[in-house]
Amino acid sequence: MADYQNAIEINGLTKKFDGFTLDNISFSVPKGSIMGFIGQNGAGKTTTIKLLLNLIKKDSGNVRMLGMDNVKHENEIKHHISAVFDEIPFHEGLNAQQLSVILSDVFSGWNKQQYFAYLDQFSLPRKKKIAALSKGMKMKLQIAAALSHGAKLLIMDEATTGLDPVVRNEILDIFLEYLQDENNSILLSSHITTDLEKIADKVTFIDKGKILLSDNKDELVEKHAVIKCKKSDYQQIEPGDMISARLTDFGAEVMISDKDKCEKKYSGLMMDRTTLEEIMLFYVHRNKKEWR
Amino acid sequence: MKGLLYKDFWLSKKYYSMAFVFFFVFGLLTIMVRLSMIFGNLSHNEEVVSSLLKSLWVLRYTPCAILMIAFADDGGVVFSDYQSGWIRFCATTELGEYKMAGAKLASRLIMMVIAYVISFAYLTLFTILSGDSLSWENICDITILFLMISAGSVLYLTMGIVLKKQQAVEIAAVGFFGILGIIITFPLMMSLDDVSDDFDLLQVIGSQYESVKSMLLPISIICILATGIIYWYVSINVFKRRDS
Repeated sequence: MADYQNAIEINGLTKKFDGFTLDNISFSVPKGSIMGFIGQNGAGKTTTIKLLLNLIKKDSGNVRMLGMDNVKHENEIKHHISAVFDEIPFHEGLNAQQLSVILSDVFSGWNKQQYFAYLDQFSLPRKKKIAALSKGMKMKLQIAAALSHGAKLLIMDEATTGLDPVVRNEILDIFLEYLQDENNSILLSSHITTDLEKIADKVTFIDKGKILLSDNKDELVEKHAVIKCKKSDYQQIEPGDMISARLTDFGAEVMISDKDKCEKKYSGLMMDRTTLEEIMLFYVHRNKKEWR
Repeated sequence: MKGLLYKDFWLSKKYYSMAFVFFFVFGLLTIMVRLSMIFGNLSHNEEVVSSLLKSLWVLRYTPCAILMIAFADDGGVVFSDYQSGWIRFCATTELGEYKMAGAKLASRLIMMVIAYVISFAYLTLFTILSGDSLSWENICDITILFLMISAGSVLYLTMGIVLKKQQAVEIAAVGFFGILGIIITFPLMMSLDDVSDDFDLLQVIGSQYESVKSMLLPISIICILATGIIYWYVSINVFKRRDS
C-alpha cells in the first residue's frame, strides 16, 4: 500500500436517483483524523458511504481511499477498511465465538486474539446468542469485529444512533483509542452532533445531496456565531451576513458565518458561541432565511 | 471457506436435526414392515404381502427421498442472509462474489452428499435385512435420486438468491416444479389405455420407470451440471450487484 495523505478523498462525486441527486460532492478525510459526516435523514450520507464502498455505481467523480481508486483497487481497499452500520449484520442465531470462526474466513487479516481481547474489554459474552444481546452490546460486538482485522479506516454509518448516552460515550472512547495509532482514520456519519462535537477533528455537513461545509470542527464552531437580538436590531443585519434567522415572539436568533467580521460590523449586538447542532439547524433553513 | 460453511451449518442445524429424526422414524417403520413381511404376521397374509411387494421399491426409496428432499433445503438460511444484512456486510469486505457463491453451493452440496451417504447406509441395511445384497441397479437408483434432488436443490438455491424472499421462492418453486411435473407425467398419462378397475398406478409408474431407466442417469448428470452452471452465472451476477 502506497503512502497517502488523505484516508478518503472525494472529488466531484455525483449520483442521480429518481427524486434525489448527490450533487458533485467533494471532501477529504486526512489520515489519522476523525471526520464527522453530518446531515438530516435523507441528506445523502448513506448514499455517499455506499458510493465509497462501491456498493452502488457512481455517475461521475473520483473517490480515492487509502491512496487508491475505490473501484480499480476495491479488493485491496476492502482488505484495509471496516464498515459499521446502525443495524448488526450478523445472524441473530449465532454467538460471538462462532462469529470469530466465520469472520476469519471473511477477513484475511483476522486477529482472533485481538477480537477476544475486545470482547473481554467490552464485557461481551462469548456464547450468548446475538439475539439476546442489547442494542448497545450488538453495536460493541460489531465494532469489536470491525477493529479485529487491522483496518486502517473505519466507516461508520449512524453507528451511535439509538444508543443510550452511556454506551455512546463508551463507543466514542473506543474510537479515540483506535485513533492512538496515527495511521488509523474514521469517517463517522451521524445526525447526533453532540457525539461529533466530542471527538471529531473535521466536520462535513451535507444537505439535500450537496456539501455545505467541510472544515476543521473547532474552526467551524469558532467562525460561526448566533446573534440574539430584538426584532428592531435584527433589521440592521444585512442578509448577506447571515445564514438564516429564527424569529421568536421576543426577538430573533441569527446565525452568522463570519464572526470576526460581524463582531466589528455589529458591535452593539451580543454574539453567542454556537454548536454543531445549531449550525446544522440554521443551514438547513438557509433558503427560507427566516423561520420559526 | 470453512467459516462460511460453518455459518450455514450452525444456522440450519436445528432444521437438519428435525429432518434426520423424521427420516429415522420413517426408515425404522419401513424396515419393520419389511421384517414383518419376512418373519412376522404379514408373512402369513399372502394377499397383503403380494400387494406390498409390488410397491417394495417405494418402501425402499421413500425414506431416502424424504431425507434428501429435506436436506435439499437449508431451512431458510439464504433468506436470513439477506434479512440480517449479511450479504450487504459481505459486500463491504474483501470477500468476493466468487467465494460467496462458492460457499453457498458447497454448503448445499455437502449436505446433499451427507444425505446420500445416510440414504446409502439405510438402503444397504434394508437390503441386507431383506436377505438380498445391494445390486448395481439399487446403486444407480439411489444415485439418480440424489442427482435429481441435488439439481432441484441448486435450482431452489438459485431462486432464493434471486428472489431473496421465502414466499416468493415458494410460489416460484411450486409453479416451476408443477409445470415440470406436468411435462414429465404427460407422456405417461397419454400412454395409458382406458383405466380399468384393477388399475395399479405404482405398477404403471414402475413399468414406465423401467423403460426410461437407462436414460435417467445421464439425464440427471446433465441436470445437475446445468443447474450448477445456471446457479454460478446467476449468483455471481446477483452478488456482484452488491446493493442487496
